[in-house]
Amino acid sequence: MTERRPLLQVEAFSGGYVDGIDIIHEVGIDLYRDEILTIIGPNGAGKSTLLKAVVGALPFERGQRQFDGQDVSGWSTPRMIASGVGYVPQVDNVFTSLSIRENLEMGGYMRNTGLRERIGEVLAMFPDLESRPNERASRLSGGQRQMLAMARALMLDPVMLCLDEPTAALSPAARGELFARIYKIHMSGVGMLMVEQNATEALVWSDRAVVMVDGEIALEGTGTEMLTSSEVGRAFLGQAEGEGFTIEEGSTL
Amino acid sequence: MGLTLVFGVLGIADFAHGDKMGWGMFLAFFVVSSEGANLGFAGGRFGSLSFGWGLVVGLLVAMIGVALISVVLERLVFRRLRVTGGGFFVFAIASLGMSIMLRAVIQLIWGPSNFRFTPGIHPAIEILGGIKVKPDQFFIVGVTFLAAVLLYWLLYRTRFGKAMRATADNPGLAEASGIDTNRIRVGTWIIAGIFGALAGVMLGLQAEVRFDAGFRLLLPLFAAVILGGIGNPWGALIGGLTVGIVQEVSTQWINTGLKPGVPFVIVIVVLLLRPRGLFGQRR
Repeated sequence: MTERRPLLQVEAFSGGYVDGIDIIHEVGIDLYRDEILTIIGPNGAGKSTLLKAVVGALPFERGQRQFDGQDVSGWSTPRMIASGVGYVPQVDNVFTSLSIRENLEMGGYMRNTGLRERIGEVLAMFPDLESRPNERASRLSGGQRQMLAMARALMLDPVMLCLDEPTAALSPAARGELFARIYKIHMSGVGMLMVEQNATEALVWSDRAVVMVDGEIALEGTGTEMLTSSEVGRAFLGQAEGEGFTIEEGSTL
Repeated sequence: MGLTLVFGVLGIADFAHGDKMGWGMFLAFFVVSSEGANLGFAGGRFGSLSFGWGLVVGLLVAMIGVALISVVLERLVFRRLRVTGGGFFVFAIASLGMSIMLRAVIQLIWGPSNFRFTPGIHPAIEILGGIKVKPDQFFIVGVTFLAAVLLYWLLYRTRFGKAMRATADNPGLAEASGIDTNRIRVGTWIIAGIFGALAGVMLGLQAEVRFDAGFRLLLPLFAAVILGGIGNPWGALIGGLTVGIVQEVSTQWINTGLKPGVPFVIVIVVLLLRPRGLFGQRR
């Protein structure tokens, strides 16, 4: 029987945006291709920073990053993307002055062949976009823009998708639709690494989750464990008020 | 169109664009003038036009030359400024410095005199309503329209052009999508250089070949770009026509000496009433 190997392995990563000021401290995460891993935590915990480090948008000087069994610690974002990592930033994640189709063309910029066919396949996953490929992205609603951002990231057939707060500023209905879409993409064979503020809903769809506090992993467990944990519920999911985040770092549920 | 491209894609107000036009003009002049004739390029005329193959070769030389100048300046100046975090005003002032330098070198080589591509009288022909137009002017209008169509096709129909628009829209996301934004920047300078050279040669054909001809046209050019909407090739074309016509027609009511001030009035009115220009997109 073949050993189940992580698609992504981050080990002992420390770093930040400015030399000498670390936002992340000795963090390690694993992601398997058959799972949705969600990173939750309070504002300023370093979740998005960690995601940026994963996709190569931050210098990876201390620690190690492996993707698909290969050391990719020094790789830039374009190289990571070319190797099968899709990235959807939290904001400014579509080209607003370009049409839906042009956005997808740019998402597939590194493709040498089959661009038109892939655009057709990706549009078929998002019926809202498929019906109006020539619509300018600036005319789309927040939810549709997020769909387009994901569609753009899928153009290179990634094996892993990194989503930075995909449901931020969306209505509850749009959030539900987007999570369902994320799940569907995941079921087509894409490992998902997601940072989310809408923790309760995200955990419902997640196989595993980690809680980050002050740049460190404070807690990790399955989505269900997190949802049923009174510790997480009290401190993080709004089940009680007036309590700070007191989870002991490195705990496991 | 070159100016609007650089402004729209790279976010740089290139004050050296007029003098790049000047270089285009003089490189073409070099080919058609006696020096060029000695190399065997010049001679002949196309029908009733004032020029022949010599100017066509001159235009090609000008396009290559100005594109090269633009790339060298990007590599030596703009890229370094970008790496060190230079902003809009740093780029603008740097381009102003380049403008002075480029103009000074033209003057150093060719002197302050005025020249013509092809000396002699080029009679105008009468068209509808007694309006007289020189055949060269028909040619210039045709070339300008073709250039606008070509630029539109490049920006909206080719992969490279779409990548240029994507880079203009969101450089970070463009890079994250695997677009080599440095290549796009160099490509933009090359295309703008080619269009600048074309404009310079057309200007030389219409008026005189003069060391500061491009620079003198710089402010009306900016007025045209702002009026048309920054980054839009059709906007640049319509803006250019509008500024030119308004400037000429204004002499019916104002002193000819005040004509150079007309583009500024246009810019002020546009900025007050419609800051994104006639065809500019809301960002």
